[in-house]
Amino acid sequence: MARMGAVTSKVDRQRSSRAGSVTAGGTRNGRGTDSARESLRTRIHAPRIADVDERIANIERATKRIKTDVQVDFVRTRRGRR
Amino acid sequence: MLDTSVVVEALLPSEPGHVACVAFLRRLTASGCLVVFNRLLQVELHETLFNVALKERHGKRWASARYDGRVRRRAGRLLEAGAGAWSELLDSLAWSSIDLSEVVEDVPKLMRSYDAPTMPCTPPVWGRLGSAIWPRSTTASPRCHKHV
Repeated sequence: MARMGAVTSKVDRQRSSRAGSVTAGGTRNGRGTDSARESLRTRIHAPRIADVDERIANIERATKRIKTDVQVDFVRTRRGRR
Repeated sequence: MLDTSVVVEALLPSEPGHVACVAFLRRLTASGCLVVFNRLLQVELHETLFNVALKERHGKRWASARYDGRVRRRAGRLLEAGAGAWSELLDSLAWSSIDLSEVVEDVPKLMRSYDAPTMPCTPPVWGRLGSAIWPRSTTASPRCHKHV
């Protein structure tokens, strides 16, 4: 276990010593990198429905599925007010 | 970047921003632009739908009735409808999702550098993707306004 810890520490030191340490998804200063954008592109799911009109009709249908009179006021609830 | 609040308002007809959020999703669909969301969105959506069931039965006392088993049947139906609706939305959009595991290690550092952001805002996600995901969309939230 001690040996594993030592190896991890060495990797951490190497990471932190790099100028502008880069994560798998982007730079630490909050700006995306080309590789981050490329990674995102590879995971894009295209719309299953090809026809635009049909897609819009699908949106309309989806937003009418839930029937309720209750208001949850999601943003206020998220802020902790009930 | 699609925020949970937009999806909740679009799926629940009683929400004040329902019409605007449905119109917004229609425009997103028509434009064919990419929608990116955090996987927490789905968890928050489920939680919200469960809360709808609680509010329907208990009104203002809904928060203290969390463990009332009588709401579970209605909650189950709402969750089923919500999952179906969410799936239908995704069928109509070009989308990509960000998993919590991709950003969680940056959260403590970012929570120190930002003004106590809430997890659903996920600034780490924004930071990692940068300009790849602009513009993002959310309903108004005073706590989040710095990040919008």
